[in-house]
Amino acid sequence: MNGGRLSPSLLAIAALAFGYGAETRAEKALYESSIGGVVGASNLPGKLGQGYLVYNKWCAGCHAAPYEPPPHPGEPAMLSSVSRLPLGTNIIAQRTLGAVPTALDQRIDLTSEAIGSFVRNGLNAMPPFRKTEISDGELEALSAYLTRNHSGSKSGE
Amino acid sequence: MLPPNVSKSDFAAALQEFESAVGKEWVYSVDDDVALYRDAYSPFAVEPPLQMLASAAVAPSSVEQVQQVVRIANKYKIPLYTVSTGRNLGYGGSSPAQSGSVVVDLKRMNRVLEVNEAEAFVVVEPGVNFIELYRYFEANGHPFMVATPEPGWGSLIGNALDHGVSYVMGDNFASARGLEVVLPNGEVLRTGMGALPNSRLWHAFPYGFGPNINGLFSQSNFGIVTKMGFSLARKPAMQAEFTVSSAKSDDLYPLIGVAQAMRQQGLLYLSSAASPIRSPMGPPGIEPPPHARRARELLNRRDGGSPDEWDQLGVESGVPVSVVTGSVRGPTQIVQATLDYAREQFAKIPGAKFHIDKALRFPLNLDEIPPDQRPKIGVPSLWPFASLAMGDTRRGMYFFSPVCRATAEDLFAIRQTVREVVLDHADESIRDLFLGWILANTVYPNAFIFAYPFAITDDASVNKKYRDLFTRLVDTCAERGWGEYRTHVAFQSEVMNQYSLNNHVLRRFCESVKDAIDPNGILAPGKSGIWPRRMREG
Repeated sequence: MNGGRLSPSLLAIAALAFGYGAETRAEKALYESSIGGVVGASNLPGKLGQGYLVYNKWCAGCHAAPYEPPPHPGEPAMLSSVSRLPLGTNIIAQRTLGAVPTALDQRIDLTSEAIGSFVRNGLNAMPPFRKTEISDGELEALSAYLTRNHSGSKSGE
Repeated sequence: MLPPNVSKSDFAAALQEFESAVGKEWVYSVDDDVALYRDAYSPFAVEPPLQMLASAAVAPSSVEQVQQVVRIANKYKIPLYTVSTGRNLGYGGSSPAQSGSVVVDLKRMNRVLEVNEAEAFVVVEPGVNFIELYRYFEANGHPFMVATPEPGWGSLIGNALDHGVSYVMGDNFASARGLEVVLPNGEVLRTGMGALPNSRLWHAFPYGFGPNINGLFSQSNFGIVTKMGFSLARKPAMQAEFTVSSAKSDDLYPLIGVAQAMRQQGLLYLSSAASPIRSPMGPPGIEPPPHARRARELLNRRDGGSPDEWDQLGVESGVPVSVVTGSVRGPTQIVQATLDYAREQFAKIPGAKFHIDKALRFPLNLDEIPPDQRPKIGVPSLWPFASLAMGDTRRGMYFFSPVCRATAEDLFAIRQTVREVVLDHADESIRDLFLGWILANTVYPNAFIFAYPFAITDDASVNKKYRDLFTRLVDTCAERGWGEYRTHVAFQSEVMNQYSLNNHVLRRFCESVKDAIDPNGILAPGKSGIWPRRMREG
């Protein structure tokens, strides 16, 4: 989907050339996370799985669920709102007063039309995404993923 | 929209040639597609006639395609404006410096071409962003940090060329190791050792022979950079940050002095200075504590409050008056010894309190690190946008980004200058943001750089006032010797105008270069205030 890849044979040559022995490190199936880190492949089928990756790469950094630090016994977490709440989640929580789940991928009320409009037009501090970043096909996959929990799914199938 | 001075038929012909060069689906000319290239954080958000808009966009996927695009643009004299990932929000994003330009969108050139572990460098194309490079390193087990700014969706190349910074490497352009550039005539140039056919050291040695011309391609419009090497920082065993605080205003002088001395010995890779008592801006709508009200009064006074008054307020509130931080990374024993040495040095300042904030051991458990803080440890994220929720930033923001010397004297002096300009020229409602002390980082070893945010609102008259204030700040700071290190594309001519020594010889030199290598003036007219001859005259 993105990011360059050295072919396995090139990697092997590079490994030999730089004295790392003949053993080639295989590239692990890891994908981008805009939260900070990486995610593994989704176990959702086809388009939904692709949409999951688009969501993690481009959306999660502003629209994920609030960050919860792992519990440390006897040490209450004192985190600022900036550390706890990504921008989109914070804004949506303020506007809806808790009426919808704040992580976008937990919502059941989003439509493909709305998702397409947000991605291509942006909203407030959210910029539009260009087709070289999120292609029309990826946008479709993203919509399928974000609408997967609808009872009368419009685009999830 | 048509490019300036280009006929409709020529533009149509050019678009067709772009299509045969890069493929039909990678040339964007219908309104909805071109609109995606608008500046999402435009200072003219609610004044459409002033916005700089593209006439079309073209997205090549290889250096050969970039060459073809440049040759076609020459044929029809069409201005091009290149973006790597177009995410330089607050400095122009993916919009051009001149309306009607065709944006060359390099996002599709997104290959990591080489990672050399032994010599610690990476070679990338312009479309690779920090988040993608991080994934690449992790997926392939490379032991390097990513020198990411906040946030991480920008291009390594674009960021470095605009003199962008990171917590990891500081000055990202200084880590450049060899550029490949498509020149305005379509030729491909490699800088440094890359100019040697069969070079073995293109990305290992900073120079070649003759003038080092890497800098000619930063903040300029002299070429399109299509590849670039970067030296990398290895993941350390430990990364630690300490804070030294004092209740005395005048202690900022020796605090910065000690931090700088350690910086100059190569012991710290990053430091910062702050005055928490002078940063009373809380979240909007929340009643500030009593000391914050008093702090605001002092900051709004012309002299900014005397050292004694701040010291007294510090004692009353328990909020530190003077603070420096230092960051150390490396092998555990060395980090610990450096922290011991730092503690010893700062102990010479009576009353200064030394505190180790965190000492992170690698490999990291990312779950334990709040996402907004991950860029500090070389893990790119978009979470730092969270801070925009603090104010009225519905249409984004741009930045006033001056640089001062890394001394307390200069720090006080530039704050005082900003205060005077703001008190004289800004409405009361927007003053606080500029009067309070925002953090000053020394990502460059001997300078503090600032990023004063200018909110873009729904009210055109307010935005105009902000822009006027911006101009006053640029002018007054320049008069007193402080220039900006980068600026939004809309203000680049204005800022370049301040670098006027000897009758603007810097700009005239750049114009001479521009005219010589880009006689048709096709590459990014107006970028950094450098205009080609045909647009300077008449």
